[in-house]
Amino acid sequence: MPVDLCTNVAKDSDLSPMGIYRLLPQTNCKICGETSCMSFAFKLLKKEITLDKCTPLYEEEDYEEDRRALEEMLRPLMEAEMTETGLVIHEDLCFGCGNCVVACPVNVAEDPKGCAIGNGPTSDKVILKVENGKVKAANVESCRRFGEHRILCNACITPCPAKAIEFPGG
Amino acid sequence: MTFDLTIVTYEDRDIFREEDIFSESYIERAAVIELDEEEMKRYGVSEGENILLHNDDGEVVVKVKRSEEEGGGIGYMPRSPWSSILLSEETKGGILGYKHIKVNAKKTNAPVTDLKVLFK
Amino acid sequence: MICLGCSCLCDDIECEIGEEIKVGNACLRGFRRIDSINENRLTPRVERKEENIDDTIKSAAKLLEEAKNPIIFGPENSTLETEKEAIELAKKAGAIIDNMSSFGYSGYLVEKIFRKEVNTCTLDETRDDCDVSIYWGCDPMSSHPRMMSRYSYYPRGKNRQRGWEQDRDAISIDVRRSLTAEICDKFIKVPPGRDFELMKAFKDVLSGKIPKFGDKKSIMKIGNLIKKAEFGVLFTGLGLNYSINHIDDFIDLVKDTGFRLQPIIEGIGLNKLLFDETGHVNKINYKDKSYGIENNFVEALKGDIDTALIIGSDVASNIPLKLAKRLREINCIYVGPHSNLTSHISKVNIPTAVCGIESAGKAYRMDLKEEDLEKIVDSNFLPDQEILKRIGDAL
Ligand code: SF4
Ligand code: SF4
Ligand code: SF4
Ligand code: SF4
Repeated sequence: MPVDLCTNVAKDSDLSPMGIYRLLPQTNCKICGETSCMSFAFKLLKKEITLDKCTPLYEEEDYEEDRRALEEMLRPLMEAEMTETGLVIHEDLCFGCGNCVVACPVNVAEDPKGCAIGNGPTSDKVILKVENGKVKAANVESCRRFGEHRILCNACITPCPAKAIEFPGG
Repeated sequence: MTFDLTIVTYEDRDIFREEDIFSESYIERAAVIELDEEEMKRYGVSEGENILLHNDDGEVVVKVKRSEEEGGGIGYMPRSPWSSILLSEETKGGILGYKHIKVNAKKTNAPVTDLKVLFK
Repeated sequence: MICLGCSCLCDDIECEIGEEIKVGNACLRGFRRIDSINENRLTPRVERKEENIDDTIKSAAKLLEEAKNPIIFGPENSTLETEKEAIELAKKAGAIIDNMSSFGYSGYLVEKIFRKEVNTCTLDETRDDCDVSIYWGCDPMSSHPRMMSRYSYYPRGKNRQRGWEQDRDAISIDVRRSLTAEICDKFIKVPPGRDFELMKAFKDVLSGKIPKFGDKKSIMKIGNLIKKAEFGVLFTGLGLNYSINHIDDFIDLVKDTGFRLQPIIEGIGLNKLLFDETGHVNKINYKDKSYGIENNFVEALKGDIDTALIIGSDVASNIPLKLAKRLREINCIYVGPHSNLTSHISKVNIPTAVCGIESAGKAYRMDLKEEDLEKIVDSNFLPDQEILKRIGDAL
């Protein structure tokens, strides 16, 4: 059986600020009342704003395909209830690449000289850190999925090539 | 002679230079070929069974693992002593064809190739 | 400490070796290397019989001395000092010297880079500036697990403050949905041996033509992304293995795109040392200082090589069976920390310290940044450079 000459698989359909941002017009026109498309994406995830506030998406034909994708993508969010953080690390799958360590926004904010620039953590306030070749979690109470202002953060899940991080039910 | 299967070798994240290549655990991870559902059907093998791969350069028995990736006539083998058995001596200016090995394949009940026997 | 698990040479490793081994920040590959100091170590042997180190060194020197056509191969993850000694030994013994870089196009590309015929950049520049990275025929997530988290994709760089989400694009081109492909935002799957057609398609997009390959829309999209890149970096590996004409076309494409090239390669120190001395990065015969394809390890093994000294590289696992068997027939000496297929088929085994853990030295990262390796624990094993030096002295 012949193989397809070339298949392109764009991975921009995940439910994350970035996944949403990719499908927005990215013009930062502020019509929605937000300062940028990225902050609009964050609010969408937190269910603090609805997609129809971005009117260019509905008015311009060029955006139609992306809009449909967005609607599809946001549907589970509209239906789901957010739960407490329930971070699970599958140690058998993790191989310590550190992608999640460097991508987690809490790690980045707590450790501008370490995680933020790609290094191992230099602060003990970080959530994710690699030890003996496997990632370990600490300080989970500062996870963005936790507490009153929790959001459906995906920043440690999307970059994991091994699918080793999961939030079951979250 | 018609060839059935193209083997692409790859670097496996779970195989390490320092390991004992004769250990059971190493053999379990390194002496394998990943085939998709359709390929497995073609050879009548299921996951965990053995398959004989051969070409003019050598023959080797390895275990079948299910691949999540569609193969379309391709099997994936970690780069290891087992996949190298099938490499051709004919190089393109010294370049070895790790990513493109043509073989015939068939189901077998024979055990996985024992390197100690092969290099006795 | 510095990790020598791969040519990323991560410099942020925390390591405690006591009753238990505790390692912070290293990936599993790096951790396993440190953890391996207590497992699968090589024993000194001559013709399978256990001997003391001095006798194995004597035997090795004797074999090299009697050799008509010796070859020296390796090392993969070692120190510059060891690489220097390997070259000295090749000179003394009148041997060919080569390493893994000649099994794929990495050596060829590295030579072009050393000659300044192709642009490159450092990994730090990649972290600070790179907006589009391409991984063509390589899978750093598996082979160099922290390269993308430390440099090319996930970190915030000086001029890429918003990190990967908004500031960077990553494109994987491979025959297989590798781990790297899994996390890149674009992936082009190319059937084995057909990269050339994709190269042509990109050239078409760059010159404003419609590509004639695969899914035109996505090729156009990616082609335009490449065109618009401010600071593009192209990583390559073993997957680039088409004919030599095509590799030159590939280099042309790299030049057309303005991308910087970074071959993902181990043992670049040896390549650099050889280049500084001879103008070539591998395949040198010190008998007459000649350079050529006949000095490629695989080709040479098909010829009349009678003695091989392999340093810290399991070459037997990476070559065709017939050649591995040939290696077993000739006088093969293996020098390295762990046992493997090459040591198994060698006549002489000389164990070494694991460098960067049990011995110190310097090493080059894949982009030639020099790092100082420390000795973390004491051991009874001699550093590999010392063993090579002693073989040389005994010649
Ligand atoms: S209205 Fe839409 S395009 Fe304009 S800033 Fe808001 S999200 Fe972006
Ligand atoms: S969910 Fe977000 S905040 Fe929580 S650990 Fe993952 S990346 Fe960090
Ligand atoms: S990204 Fe995945 S594999 Fe990498 S360290 Fe995090 S959990 Fe482990
Ligand atoms: S990426 Fe390479 S150098 Fe860095 S910790 Fe892993 S094995 Fe060591």
